[in-house]
Amino acid sequence: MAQAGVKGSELPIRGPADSGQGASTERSEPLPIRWGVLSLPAVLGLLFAFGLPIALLTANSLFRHAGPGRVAPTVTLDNYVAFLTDPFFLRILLDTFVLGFMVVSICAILGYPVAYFLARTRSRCRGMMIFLVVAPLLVSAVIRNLGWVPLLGTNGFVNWLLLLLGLVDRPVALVNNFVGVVIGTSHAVMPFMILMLMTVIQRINPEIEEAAVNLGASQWQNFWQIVFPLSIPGLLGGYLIVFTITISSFTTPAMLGGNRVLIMSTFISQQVRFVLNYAFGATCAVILMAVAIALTVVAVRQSERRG
Amino acid sequence: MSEVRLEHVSRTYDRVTAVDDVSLTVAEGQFLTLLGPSGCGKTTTLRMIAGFLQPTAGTIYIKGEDVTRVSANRRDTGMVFQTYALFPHMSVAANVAFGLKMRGIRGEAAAVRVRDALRVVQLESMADRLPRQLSGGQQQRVALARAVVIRPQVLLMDEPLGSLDLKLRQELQIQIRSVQQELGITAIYVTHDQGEALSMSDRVAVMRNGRVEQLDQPDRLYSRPVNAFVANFVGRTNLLAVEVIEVFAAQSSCKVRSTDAPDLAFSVAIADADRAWRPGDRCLLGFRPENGVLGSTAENRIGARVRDVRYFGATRSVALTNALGGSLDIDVPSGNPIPARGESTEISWRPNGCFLLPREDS
Repeated sequence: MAQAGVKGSELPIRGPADSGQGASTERSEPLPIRWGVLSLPAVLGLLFAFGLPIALLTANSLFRHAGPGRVAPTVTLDNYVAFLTDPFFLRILLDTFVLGFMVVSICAILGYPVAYFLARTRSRCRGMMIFLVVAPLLVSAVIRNLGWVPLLGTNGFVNWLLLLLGLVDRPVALVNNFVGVVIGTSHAVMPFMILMLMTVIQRINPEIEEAAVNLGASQWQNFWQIVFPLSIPGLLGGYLIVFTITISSFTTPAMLGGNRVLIMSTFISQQVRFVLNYAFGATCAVILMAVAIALTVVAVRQSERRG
Repeated sequence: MSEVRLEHVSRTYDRVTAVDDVSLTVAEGQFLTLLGPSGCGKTTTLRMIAGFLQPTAGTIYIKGEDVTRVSANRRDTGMVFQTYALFPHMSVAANVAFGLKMRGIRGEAAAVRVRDALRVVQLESMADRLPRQLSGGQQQRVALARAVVIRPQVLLMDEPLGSLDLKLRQELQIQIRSVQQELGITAIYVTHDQGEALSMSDRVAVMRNGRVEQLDQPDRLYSRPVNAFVANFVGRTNLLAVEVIEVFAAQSSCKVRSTDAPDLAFSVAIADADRAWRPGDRCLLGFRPENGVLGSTAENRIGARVRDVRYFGATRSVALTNALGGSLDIDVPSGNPIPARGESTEISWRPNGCFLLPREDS
């Protein structure tokens, strides 16, 4: 839908290339040098604590496995070839994506109404409600997951409720499998999706919605033709954060997956901690990172195009 | 036949009454302005007509039909907002076509009407642009086209020119008025700008504290305000506290004297007899700055001292302190001689250039 809008943009005034923020282009004074100097400690710190390990990791992925816990410094692409040609490994990568997309979808669908409500409410309790949304982030992942186990177990609350409502005949396996991981991860990352959506919806002028209703739009039409398209930047932002956190999450898949869910993070852990194949573990980590970066770039490009 | 009719409409929030028992009618094709300071209930009234707010009491009719409980998307009104409220992700043409699409009008029929509407606001060449590529004035013209293209029963405008600069505002006032007249559309306009209200409207409702203080044609509103609030909100007014001493010939004129200085007497011509004054009534004598003259040429006179002079191009505004210690403003055509600051002079005005108002506290 927004594509259609971009179509007619070969105009002399302002194309989407300059991101549409016309008003802010006037202040183009160069930033004072001292800001550069002041950022130096952070930049150096990041280089040391982030850049260096990633460089070492990438180097490891290019070396040959030479027995448990050792690499031989011969540069080769064999690890990558091994990963990308074996259906077993590709399946793990695919499962990781599936997990990511499922969690993103669940967060978007369940989080959207909450985000919309929080963006539009004038209740005095709004601050409190936002706190409640963010609250899962304040709890350690271990505690949060431990909390899910009794809820999702065979004799847990959820199964009790499902049986009571007659939706199932016998308890469903909700933990120690993929479903458990999806539920636990969705819970953990939901706040990010809600906050991203809320900020974007808040910026949609409520009078725009009133204009749509005034022109005859039903609530349904108002949502799909006005609110939803305008909130896509929020969805993209939420997708970006939720997806990258999900595909790299380890604690929740490890705890709620019951050692049965093999996604990239749990697989890397296996390779590094038990198989002691540092080279292949590093390869998987680099591939996961590359995918995450690629998706980030795509999402950022998309939201920039939408201004 | 009245196009829009409000009967005893009220709206309260918690314990605050935003609109208090408002009744008014707008005839077909008429341009009515709701004028008042912020918080007077004018926007609340408009939003109730649009259906965005439910009145807590009273009934709203559009074309004789009770629409009080009809939801906003079925009321067939066209609204123009102060923030333009264009759909930022749609082209100008798609914005204008939106209301048609909601009414099931598509394709060539819709395209023709969109083109016509954009021609009326002189923006045909902008059809493919996005709202953010237009100036504020252009955006508001798109919003106007979007509101009228559906041929609504009534066009509602909520301070549409509030965020534009003066020059543009005046241009758009003329354009809105001409579009409204060309299409013969019933319109209700909300503003706090009295100049805008006077120049655009067939009738103006001056509101204060949720109530309509006066509903009248612009010229009558200006020359015959019903109370001191209207007199001061619509234009400027010099007020003197007076007491009626004599009434002549069936309320055609009367003699009053200052309550502060009983030897100061003035004559007032009463134009309309909707209020009967009696000797002993305490009231306010009002006259407009342009009806006062420097010097003692007219019948009513009061001594004053020049305090300040401001230049406005065609006129000079002279602020004076009158003999009773109160303040007076007189407009003098530029070029006429003006006494120096601090100099004493006399101000005079004719009996038919002034009016009597009830005291606010009575």
